[in-house]
Order: sequence, then C-alpha cells, then structure tokens
Amino acid sequence: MNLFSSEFWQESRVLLVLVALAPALGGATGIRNALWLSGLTLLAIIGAGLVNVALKGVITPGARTPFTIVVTITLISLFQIYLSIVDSALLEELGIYLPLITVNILVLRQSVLFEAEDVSREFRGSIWLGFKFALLLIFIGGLRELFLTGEITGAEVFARDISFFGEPGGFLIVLGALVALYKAVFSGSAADREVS
Amino acid sequence: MGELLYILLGGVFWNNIVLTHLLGLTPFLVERKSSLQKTAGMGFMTTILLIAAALFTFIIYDVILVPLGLTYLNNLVLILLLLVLVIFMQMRPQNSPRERAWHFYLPDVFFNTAVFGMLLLQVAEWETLVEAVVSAAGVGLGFAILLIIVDSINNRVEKLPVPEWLKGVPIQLIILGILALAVSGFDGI
Repeated sequence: MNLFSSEFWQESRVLLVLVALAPALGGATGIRNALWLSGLTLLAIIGAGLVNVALKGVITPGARTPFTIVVTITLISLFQIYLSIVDSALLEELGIYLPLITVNILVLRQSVLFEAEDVSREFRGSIWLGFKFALLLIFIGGLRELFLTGEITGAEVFARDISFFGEPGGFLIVLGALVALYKAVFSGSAADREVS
Repeated sequence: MGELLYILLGGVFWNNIVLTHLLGLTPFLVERKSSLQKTAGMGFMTTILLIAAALFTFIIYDVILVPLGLTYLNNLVLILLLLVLVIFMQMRPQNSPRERAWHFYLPDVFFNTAVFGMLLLQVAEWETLVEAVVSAAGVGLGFAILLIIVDSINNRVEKLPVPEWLKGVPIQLIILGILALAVSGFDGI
C-alpha cells in the first residue's frame, strides 16, 4: 500500500510542517493543549521512527504504513486510558485531536523514510521537522488562547473581548494573514520557493 | 424525515466539519493547481468513503463493541476499518479513466482528517443506521462543496491583480474563514 505515490503528496512534501498542522489545529485552543499535542506528536514521530528502523527488513515495505498506524494508535489508546485515570479533564480537552495524531503526516512519513542509505540522517531530519512543528503549534495555541481569553498563561493582555479571532472562522483569517505575512517577508528567498 | 434533513443540512452548513472543527484542512493548506473536475472527484471520493465508513462503523460499534463492553478499542477499530476500506478500494481494477481517478485520490482521502475525525466525533451519537449514513453524507457533501467553492474562487483570484504573497494558501484560508462566518449564521435554525 503506497500512500505517498500520488502527485498531490509529491507537490506538498515541501510544506510538510504546514500540512502536519491540519490534524492538530482545532485542538490547539491554548498553550497547555498545544504543548500536550505537540509533545505527543513528537513522541509518536520518534516512536514510529524507532519501530520502523528496528523492523527494517522484517516488515515488507507495503505493510509498513498500516503497521505504523496500528502501533501509533495502540500507544495513543494506552495513553488515553492512562489519562482517563489520572487527568480526565485534560483527556476531555484534547478530545478527538489525540487519536488524530495517528494520521499526522509527520508520523505516517516514518513508514517510508528509512529506505534511504543514511538512516540516521533521515531520523535526525524527521525529529527536527517534528520540533519545528511543535514550536509552530505552541505559537498557534498561544495565539488562540490570547484571542479567546485575552490572557496568556493567566496574565491578562487584552481587557476587551477579541474572542472572535480565536473562534474557527476568525482564526482561519488570522492564519491566512500569518501565512501571507510569511510569504511577503521571505519573498524571493528559499522560504518563498517552499510556500509558492 | 425532517430530522434526517436537518442532520444532512447541518453537516453541509452549520456543523460543517472543516469550518467548525478545523478538520480536513489538508487540501486547503497546500497550493493545488487542479481542475474543477479533479477537485469534485476528490470531494466525491471523500463522501463515498465517509458513507462506507459510517455504515460499517455503526454496525461494528453497536453490534460488537458496545454489547461486549469493548468501547476502549474504538480508535483502533476505526482506523483499521478505514485502512481495510482504502486497501479494498485500491484493489479495484483500473480499466476506465473513472476507476483510475478513484485509485488516484484514495491516499489523499485517507490522510484527510475529516474522515477519521468525523467517525471519532459522531460514532457514539448515531442512533440508527440511516442516521449514520445521512450524517456521513452531510459531512462529505459539506467538505466537497467547500473544496469546490474555494477552488473556484482561487481560480478566479489567479486572474486578478492580487499580490503574489496573498495568492494560494493565504487566500484559501481567508476565504475559508469568511465562509465559516457566513455559515455560522445558519446556526440555531
């Protein structure tokens, strides 16, 4: 089963971090949620990578993606059971966005990454991508928390109600503006070639 | 009948999974230069997969998982079901252009968080099989219509003197945001 064969993914590979945001964006409504989601995604990337490296040659390439999915969802389900015992409020906050880590492109990518000669380089590269994803998600979580509550980790920043920008509709406009700003600032640079 | 229509229209408008839960955003976060036909094909594929997944999920959840008290296996069962459906669909012969198009969109549809997200969100809420199918059809139609609207606007924007930095992903996200505000007006009907 080759999930990365279509033209769509060939085109979008340079935008991996942005695409990886898709499953987590809705859940990152605050810094706390974003920290948990990004941390768990990073752990899932490392876990899926290690499992795929360890079982290289044992599992056929065609079965690697389903295998990675099953391993990741099992680990996440175990973590959900653990959270339901120790912190059910957090489990409720993360909701469906926790199992959605399984279909994160950065996690699934681990199943096709280790065909290359230099496995260590690929592994370091994917951890670095995961780290960039985590930083971006925490930034987005912080921004949404600021818009929704007017506070950042309890410290009041805005006295007025600007929750509109934290709601899905308003935040999509904010996100669009941020990507536009990024393109404008890095116009003509390597970053521009990545986005356009 | 009225309730089913409400569920269907809710999935398309006021409960649109992309605009209310920010799920299934992947196609909007990449710059695509595809024809309207290709976009409609992807939307159609997603709707078919959603309906098939809802049908089987309802049966498995209500007939096996709930009676046996195995609901904690929900995530694993749902993702395995999706995998089986995608693999099964990939095994179809690819003789005609339409069949080849089906095959082409499958991986992208599987990655779409709208599919897995919809199942996770709604599986425990469905009371009848018909409700599950109608609800999935609504979510799929909502996603497909949104994809077509955004692509159509994007195609027109490309011909206008819009700054280069606003083209593509930024304008797609801003259009989505405006559409989200528009459909929120339907809430409470």
